[in-house]
Amino acid sequence: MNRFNYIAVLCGLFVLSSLEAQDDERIKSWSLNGYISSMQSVIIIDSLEDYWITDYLLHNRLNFHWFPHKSFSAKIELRNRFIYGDQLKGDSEGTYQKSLEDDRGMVDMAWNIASGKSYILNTMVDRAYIQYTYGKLEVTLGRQRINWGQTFVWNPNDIFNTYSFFDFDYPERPGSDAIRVQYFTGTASVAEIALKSDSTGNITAAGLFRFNKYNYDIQVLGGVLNEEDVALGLGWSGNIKNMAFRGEMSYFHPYRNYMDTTGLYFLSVGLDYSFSNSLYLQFEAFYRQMPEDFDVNDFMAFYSGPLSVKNLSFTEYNFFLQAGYPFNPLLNGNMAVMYFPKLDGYYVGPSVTCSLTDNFDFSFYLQLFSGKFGDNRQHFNLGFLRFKYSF
Amino acid sequence: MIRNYLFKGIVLFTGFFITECLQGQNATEIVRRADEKMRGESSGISEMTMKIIRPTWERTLEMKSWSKGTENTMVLITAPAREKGQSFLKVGREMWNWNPTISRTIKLPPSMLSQGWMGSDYTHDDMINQRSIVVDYTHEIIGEENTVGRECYMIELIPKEDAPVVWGKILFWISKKDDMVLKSEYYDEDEYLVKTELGKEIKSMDGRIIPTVYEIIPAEEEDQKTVVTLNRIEFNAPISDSFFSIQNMKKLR
Repeated sequence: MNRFNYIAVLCGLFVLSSLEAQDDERIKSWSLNGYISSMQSVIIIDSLEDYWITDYLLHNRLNFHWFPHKSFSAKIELRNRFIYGDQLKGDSEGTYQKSLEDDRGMVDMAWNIASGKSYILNTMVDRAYIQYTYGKLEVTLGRQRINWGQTFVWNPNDIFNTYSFFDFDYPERPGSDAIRVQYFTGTASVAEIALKSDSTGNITAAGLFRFNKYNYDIQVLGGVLNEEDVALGLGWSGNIKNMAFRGEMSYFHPYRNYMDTTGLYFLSVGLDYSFSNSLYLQFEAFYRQMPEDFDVNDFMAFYSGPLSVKNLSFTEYNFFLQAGYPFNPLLNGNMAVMYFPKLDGYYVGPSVTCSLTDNFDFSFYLQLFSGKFGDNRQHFNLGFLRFKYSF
Repeated sequence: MIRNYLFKGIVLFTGFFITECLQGQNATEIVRRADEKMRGESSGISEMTMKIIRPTWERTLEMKSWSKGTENTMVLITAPAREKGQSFLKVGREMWNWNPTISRTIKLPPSMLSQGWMGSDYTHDDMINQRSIVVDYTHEIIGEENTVGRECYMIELIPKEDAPVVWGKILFWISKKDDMVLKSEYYDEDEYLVKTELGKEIKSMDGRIIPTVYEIIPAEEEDQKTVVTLNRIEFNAPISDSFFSIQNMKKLR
């Protein structure tokens, strides 16, 4: 099915569905919101004396939601990006340009609308789905985010859409072209199955059961990842005294030649706590078994975000600590650090966000990486200045 | 004779006991009535605007909330745009937050209760745990006072042992007529005054006489305040128990 058919089908469903009045007439049957942000970024590989790679991104997100009936809704969300800067200028082979147009979903919905030697205008639809609710049953069809994560930095249970901690400017993440059927068995419990196909036609399909017991949300999941692996997972969110205690465990094993291959274990465990003065502390540790052929030569290869849940980190053991503090309701400071023992390396990420008006924010982020790959110590430093207007 | 004394003694003692009970019950009863009046005996739906006011700036939050019984509360943020669509669910002692940006329901730890609600002078506890003022505290009338021109009972609330609340003591000024909380003082565990709340703009809403504007003033920063205005309130609206679920918190509008 090509993208135009896909959109035509969505539009058809919009028109066909009955336009019944809402229960509460003061509530509109549609909504449009989003944001527009202007961000200047700089990459400094080793030292300040080197060439700086500077880029500019004008980023606009539009979320269009339609609720024609209380049991039916449709959502389309897209992002428009206007980019210019050194990364494009240095892109003589066009790989960067192509990567922006690379939609990993079953339906191609990413387009470079206009481009030149120095700029690109890109549009990408990352949500396009219809949802039908019948009592406790919910069916969602189309491009959607299926988020099964319980921890905050590394999510081995989140097998449909991989989260990237470093990509702070795009928390929504790309969607999956999927069908998801959920049955809510109680206040905080759900049984669900989901199936997605990617651009190569590979299928990921899994079931999850989440229930609430002893003040814990506990989930078990099982399925097939990318037509390669059997995936099994266990996750939880609860608390020890007043502190949140969360975790995710996953096991992936190739199902072809099952006996001749070995599986990989992943485990993330986290704690978080809010003090009464609003200081927020968060700790997370992540262990992943490394595949034999795994080889990372630099930070950059991983920076843009893991492509698969099996590639969540640079190294085997990873530790994370974060502190967030609102100096006042307008000014939030945050400091995240990571430690990678294998690389004798670290990540340091200080940031501040300042509210300029009700809907207008200013943020400053630094992301500093250092680590040893082979005999060489590498540095990889990024800085971002962002103004963001939400509507 | 002895029997007489005994009888008298029993009567006196019982009488004393009954008065004590009544006194205790009275205070609890008054707090319960005041609480139920604002929230509806069985349930309530309200829409409010919260303004965080500081000497040089102001920020506005808008929200809609649903509650039923002492156990169930749901809050939907409707403004500002950046936070819009986020919702909070509290069922019994457990809390969840739905974040539409990342399409995820996050289970919140109890320590979150004492945190400022979206940067205001309210805490999460105030916003989604308020009903516990009836069940988590003991109540006692400690005096009578005239506040904003109305005769009020002064009632002291002390948390019960192990109650998951953030205050060490609360004082309420509840009007004798119409059961309105016109003033409250919140103290920390060391009995230091943390903030004062005032009920103003008394009006009839959905058939009840209530304060429709509330001002919170932090004790240590008197030039700061948070003002909550009730825009709409609906008492005892029919809400089913299943409304309060992680399924529904994604669908609030």
